[in-house]
Amino acid sequence: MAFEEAPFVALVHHRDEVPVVKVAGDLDLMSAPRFRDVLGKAVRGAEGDFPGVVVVDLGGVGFMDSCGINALVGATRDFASDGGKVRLVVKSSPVARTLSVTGLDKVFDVYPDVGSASCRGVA
Amino acid sequence: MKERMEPEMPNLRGMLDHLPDPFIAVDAEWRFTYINPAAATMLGGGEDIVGKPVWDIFPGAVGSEFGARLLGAMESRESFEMLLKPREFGLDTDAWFNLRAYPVPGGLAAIAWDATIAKENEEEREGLLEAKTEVARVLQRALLPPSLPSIPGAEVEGKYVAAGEGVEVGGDFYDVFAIEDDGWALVMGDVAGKGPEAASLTSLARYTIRTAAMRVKRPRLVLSTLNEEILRQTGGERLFTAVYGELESKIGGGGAMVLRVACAGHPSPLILRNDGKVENFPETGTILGALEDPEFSYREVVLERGEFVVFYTDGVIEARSEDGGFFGDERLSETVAGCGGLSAKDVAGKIEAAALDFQNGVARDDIAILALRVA
Repeated sequence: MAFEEAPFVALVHHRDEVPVVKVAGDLDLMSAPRFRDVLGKAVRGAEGDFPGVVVVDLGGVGFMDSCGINALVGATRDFASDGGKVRLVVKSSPVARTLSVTGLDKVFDVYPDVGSASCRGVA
Repeated sequence: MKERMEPEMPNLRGMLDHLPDPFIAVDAEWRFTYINPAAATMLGGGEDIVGKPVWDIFPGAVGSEFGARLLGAMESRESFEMLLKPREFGLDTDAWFNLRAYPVPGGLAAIAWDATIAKENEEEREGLLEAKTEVARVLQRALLPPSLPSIPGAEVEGKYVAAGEGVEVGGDFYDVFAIEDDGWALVMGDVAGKGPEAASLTSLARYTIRTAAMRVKRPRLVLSTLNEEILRQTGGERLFTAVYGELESKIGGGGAMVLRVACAGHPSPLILRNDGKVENFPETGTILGALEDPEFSYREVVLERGEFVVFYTDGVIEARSEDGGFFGDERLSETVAGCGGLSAKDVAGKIEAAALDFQNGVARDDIAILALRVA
């Protein structure tokens, strides 16, 4: 590929004690395993809290394919089924489109920014 | 400085004589001016080679690419490096050598070193890659129908393009089959990821759909059955998007057909109407394998004669150009809009070509296309 793909970054920080997984770059076949790994650790760290909340900040993701979707759902499945809340921050239209086509925008709570997503309690 | 160095000047000739790698030098008339013992052994001669023309000692090089590059290096005064099999030039060894020739005052010098192990490793790697590509090709073929059935009153065409060099089996598939006497099923699906694991889920999905289609005969129920099966088999570790359509003749419709489509998180099929308008489905339902109670979208459309529907996978819209731009929904709609009057075969071919051209002929992700036209 001739175009330069943005380097992929996934790291965890906290905002008002809520873990925020910040992701940047393209979320695809290559980067999905790392994303899953980082998200999985953040989710396990939040399991002690109740109600557990994890924010996944996809604001810096320009593109997400089915492998990214697979990692997102796979890493949060157990957490979500135990009542944990996974909140997505989505800015770019390709990511919003992928979530919309796959119907996952109705499964996850989607927020426009990290500030509103990291509010504790029911949003 | 210079004076202090001189007494320590090493015996360069002696060093070259002891090099284990063959080393030679020739003058501008291509006569050997120096040949070290390693080279002499390899060329099957001795010190007496010095003074003789290269082309007499090494006739196999005359007219070869190697010979041409030597001539070129002498002329251009630029060095080159190439991999050689000395046996091809009549020497008695099965080794491979890397040879580097470079201009020196009054002629050329060349050094060669054994590259047999590197070459063997490379060949092994290539062999493994070839075998892997072959496995992927065979598996892929098993995931697609060998030929599509002929549907009375309609034409149907499928296309599949593997990503990159086709080393990995992809997760895209399509299928077309008769649902007993109740019409025809059209399926397009996409398992996240690649490789044997994705392929086995693809296979499971294909046969689950075929079985369910005979049993339940309602598009959304077919997808629900598939969802349950995927969850049961994978424990939710693999997501899967699919679109499933049932096609039958419209009774009293003068050749028109009815298509009932259920969609599970898959890009919306596109319909080209006879008036040139392209329609898509506003709702695309929930991806399979994520939830126990997903909601699938459903739509029933009537296709008049000459109208067609296209199913495709995200490899089409996610095709990326050199500058990183996406092929996208709009470009796909425009491509479909320009397909009026074409046969199903040409429609599928045109979309395939557009998506491939956009990414310089090499698919970044698998591409599957299924076009159905009411004849």
